[in-house]
Order: sequence, then C-alpha cells, then structure tokens
Amino acid sequence: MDTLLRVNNLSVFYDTYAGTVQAVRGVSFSVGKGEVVAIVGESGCGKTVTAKTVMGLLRCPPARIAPESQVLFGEKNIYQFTQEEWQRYRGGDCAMIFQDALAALNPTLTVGRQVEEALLLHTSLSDEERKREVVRLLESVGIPQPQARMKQYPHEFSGGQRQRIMIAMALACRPKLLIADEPTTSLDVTVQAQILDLIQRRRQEGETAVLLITHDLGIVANIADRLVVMYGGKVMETGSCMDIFYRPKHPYTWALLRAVPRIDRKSQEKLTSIPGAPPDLIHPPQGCAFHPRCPYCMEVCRHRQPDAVQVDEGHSYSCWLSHPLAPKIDPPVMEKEAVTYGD
Amino acid sequence: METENHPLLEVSHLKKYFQTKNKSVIKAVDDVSFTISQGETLGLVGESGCGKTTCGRTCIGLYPKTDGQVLYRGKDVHAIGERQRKAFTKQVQVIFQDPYSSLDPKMRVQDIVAEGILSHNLAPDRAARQEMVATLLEQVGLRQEHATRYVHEFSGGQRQRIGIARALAVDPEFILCDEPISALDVSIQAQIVNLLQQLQEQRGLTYLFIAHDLAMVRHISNRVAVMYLGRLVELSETEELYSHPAHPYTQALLAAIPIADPLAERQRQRQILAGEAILQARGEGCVFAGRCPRATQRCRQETPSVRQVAPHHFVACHLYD
Repeated sequence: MDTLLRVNNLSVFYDTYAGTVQAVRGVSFSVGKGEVVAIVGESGCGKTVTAKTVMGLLRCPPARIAPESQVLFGEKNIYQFTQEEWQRYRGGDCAMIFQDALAALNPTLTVGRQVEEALLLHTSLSDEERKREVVRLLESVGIPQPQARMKQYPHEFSGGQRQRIMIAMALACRPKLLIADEPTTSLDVTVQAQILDLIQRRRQEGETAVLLITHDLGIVANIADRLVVMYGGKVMETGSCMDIFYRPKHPYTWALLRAVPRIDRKSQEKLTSIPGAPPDLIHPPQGCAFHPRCPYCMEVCRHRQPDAVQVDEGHSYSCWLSHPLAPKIDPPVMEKEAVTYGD
Repeated sequence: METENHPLLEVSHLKKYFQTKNKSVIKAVDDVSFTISQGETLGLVGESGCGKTTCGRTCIGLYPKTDGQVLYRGKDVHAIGERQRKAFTKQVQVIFQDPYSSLDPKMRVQDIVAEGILSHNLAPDRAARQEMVATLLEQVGLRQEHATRYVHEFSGGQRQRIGIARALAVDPEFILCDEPISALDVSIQAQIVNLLQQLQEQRGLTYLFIAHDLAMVRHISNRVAVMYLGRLVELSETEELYSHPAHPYTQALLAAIPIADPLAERQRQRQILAGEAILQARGEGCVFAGRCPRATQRCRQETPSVRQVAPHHFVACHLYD
C-alpha cells in the first residue's frame, strides 16, 4: 500500500508557567492510501495534539514542535509548505472532523454557506454548480430536505445532524486524508452507530484515508485497519486490528483491553482495573512511561526507555519484556480460539 | 411493576413535568414505576435527555414530584417533615456525575468528608471525627495525608473517591449513583466500579445506578431498567435483559454498542436506528413509535401499558399483546 502520511519522531512541547508539558514524545506512524488508522489512548496521552499537528492547527507558541520532527504528506514535509501549499492541503487534501460540532460550526452562518466555503476555496465550480454540490453533499450525509435546510443555522439542528454537517464540510473536496478527532464522543450510542456507518460507507466508496482519534476500543474494532496505542505521549504498540486485539504484546494494551466490560458477555466477578493514574507530562516518568502502573515492571523499566521491537510485518511494541533476558509472561489475552481464524 | 417481599424503595406511577417559558410541558419522567430491594443494584439506563437523572433525583426527594408516589421503607419521600428529613438524609446519599463541580473547591478533603459526620453528630469529638475521616479515606483507596489537601490537587478518579467517601461518611443504606463513572477514563472507571462493588459487599449497600454505558451497567446491576423519553420501556433481571431484550428500543440500543472484538463485531447483525430522541410535547402513543422499525398505527395512537413477558421481565410495548 502506498504511504499517504508519515509521521516521524514527532515531539510537541507546551511551555506553561508550571513547566514544559511534554505532550507528544517521539511519535512515529504512517497512514496508507485509503487506510483507516486509529490512535487509541486515554485523555492526556497526546492523541489530539498529534492530530492537530498533522492538520497544522497547533498554535505556536505556546506549543513548540521539536525541530527533528517530520510530518510527510506524500513526499513533502508539511512544515516546509509554502502559503499556497498550506491552503491546498488544509481543507483540500486533508480535512478534519472535531469532537464538538456545535463549537466547530460558525453559529452566525447558514450551514449551506459553511459547506460551500471549502468548495469556493478549492474548486472552480460556478455558483449554480456549487449550490447543487452543497445539496448533494448534505443529502449524502443523510440530512433530510437539504434544499430547505441548507438555509438554516447550526442551532436549528440536532447534535447528530451537526456532526453530519461537519462530515459534509470535511468531505466537500474529496480529501485524501480525513482526520476524525473523537467524532462520536458527545453523541448517544444509537446516533454514534449512524455516524460510524456514514464514515465507513464514505471510506468504502472513495479513496479517503481516515485517521481516527478515539478512546473507545469498541469503535475501533469495527472500523480500523491499523491501531496506534498511545500512552503518556508515546506510542506503546502499533499493529493491525487483529494484532492488537488478538495478539497484543504490550502490558498497557493488555490492561486497556481488559478494563472494558463487554456488552455481549456475562460479567465476571471483578473488572481488571489499572492501578494509579496517567502520568503528569510536566514530569514524565523516567524510563518507560507506563512503568509506575505496570504489574510486570522490572528495574530496567524505571531507568531506560525501551526501543520499539518488531514482532512481524507492521506490528511493533516498546517494552522491556521483549528483551531475551526478561521473564516470559503469558499474556492475558481475550479468546485464544480467535487467533486461529487468521486475518 | 413488581412485587418484592421487602422493597426498600417503591416508586409507583411517578411523574415529573417541567413547565418551559413558552408554556409547553416537558414530561421528563412520565408514569415510571419500579422497586428496589435491600442490598440490590438497579441499573437505570437510557440516552441523554431520557430523564434518568431527573427520575433518580425525584425518587430521593431532591425534586418535588408532579404526581405518583415514592415510598422509602414505607414512608412517602415527598411528605417527610423537616425533622425526619435529617434522618432520611442519613440513610440516603448521592454520588454525583461530575467530580469537579460537586466538591467545594474552598474546603479541605477532611472538611468535605466530615460535614455529614458533624451535622449528624456521629462523632463525640474532633479526634474521633478525624479518625473516622482517615478510615473512610483508606476505605476508598486514598491516603490519610490527603485529608488536609484541597480538591484541585486531585485527579478525576481521586475526586470521585472523595465523593464516595463523603457519601459513606454517614453510613447510609441507599446510594443514588448518578453516572459516577462517565466523566472518567476507561482504566479509572474500572477502579471506581470495583470500589463500589466492594463497598456494597462490605456494607450491604443498595444502589440505584444511573448510567448510559450499558456494558458497565450489565457488570454492576442485578436488575436493569431502560428509559426512553421519560418512560420506562423495559425492566428485567440483568442477564435476561441482555440475552433476551424484548422492547425494540432495548434491542436497537444493545445492537448499537460496539464490541471491542473485531471478529465478533463483523459477525453481528446490525440494524441502525434512524433519527434521534427529541423530547417535546407529545400526545398519546408510544414514545418510541417515531423511530421504531416495527411501529404500527396502534403504537401512534395508544400508549402501551406494562406487561410481563417472562418471570420478572416487564416491557411496555404493543408487540407483546
């Protein structure tokens, strides 16, 4: 698969009065053409900052991107873009859906006007064609009576409909990459299912790659091709959906998978919780970011950061348990039988 | 809806309406009935705006009711006098959803936890009170030295633990848990749920557990009640509800929740519900009729009554006539 986006060794800092927050520390991953990649992690793990960096939306200062960081879109580092290249990239090649649609939409403009804006900037359609395209876009995301409703304002729509309008805006110029930052977190589950179905269908139709940011492993299971598990500003494990769910290697991934009760299972006695709390990124723990909460923590974990180890094609993790001298641990994975299904 | 031998809380035909500025009536809770027995956990689930929080708060008298009756140990919750109200608040406590706004930022943790002890005179002197606070903090997984700190020094999960300690301070028998975990991270949610279960075993607590996370509710509850736009549409024992959901809304709700297992997820039959739940003034008919894939003419005209489809399994739907 051709690589569309490659993030190399990305580090982002925030200079605050309390000290420097090391929000993202040396993150690398890639997104192929037409692929759905999900970044999973808890709040404060740096997933949203990573997404905003890719979109070029970080305000610097207070944010500071380390000079060695690279974000390659196609062949070009986006931080060497010229003004025109930025304009073509943002909204044209790359579009973003935000978590809070009400905050992301402009309350003083009609939704038709807002959907039209991207077309106005990035295409050379006539007024007539543009109007028709807006109606078509709104219809394709499931807004009833688009002719009439495009003249309405964001507050006249429900939460799910506003999220649909944002998707219509993002898809207006057929972007190569769609970044979805927690697109369903503020929605009810029945509406969440509608939105996920919509993203899924759009992705099957076109060549759009999706970078999905979420904390919900359930959403990911259905939609993602590959997963990037982040913790404390670092990538803990990355691999295909099957790798992460059925052959996870990192203790944090194990813990994350076991902490969520399943709707289709009778409950076991006790949930497997992860003791402690996520790290303070002003003073991130020395060594592995997860070591203070890890039940398998060894002496070396406290002092030295483990390197990423490749398990097989596309599946790698950063943990000292991969070292030949480390004790062998039987991973507490979910159904073993599922492994034999293959991919 | 159900006859238990000794229900602790008995809610019958409870109604709570709100009047809006433009004179329309919002039926936040409409004709809801259920019981909770001692030592049991009843999960109350539904989507946002379905009235589950209003229902919980009306049940313990935090809101005045519009109609119906709530009996706690046989006494009408809404007819308690000033003097008995104090005794009632010693038995019934609340854990709130937002651990940020529900704790006073100007108070130290020990003062927050000790407030109930003080007002109910549960400790003879200051030393005994501090001793009790220290024990409580330990029980909820905090350390003694946390007692002198302020709330802003704690994380969300720790704050929720402080809220739990405050509720436990007066040694209640019934706790209304109003979405106690929805503001927390996944790994922290499991910690809090485990803590609540452990405390229930130790102290024989009874919970009304309000949540929108159906997987967590399945884990913690003995019985589950499903609400939709102010009405109780289904009530059953937990395993029965999750394995044989009867109401079309419950079925759709369960089908909509993604499972963190790619292969299981691919094999699922998913029927996606159209539309959204919008609370507005409405006439007769089933509240779910507008979105229900199996709605008939009758559903739009006649409000379904509650019927039993299996032992301890109640559903309000015309399909089960």
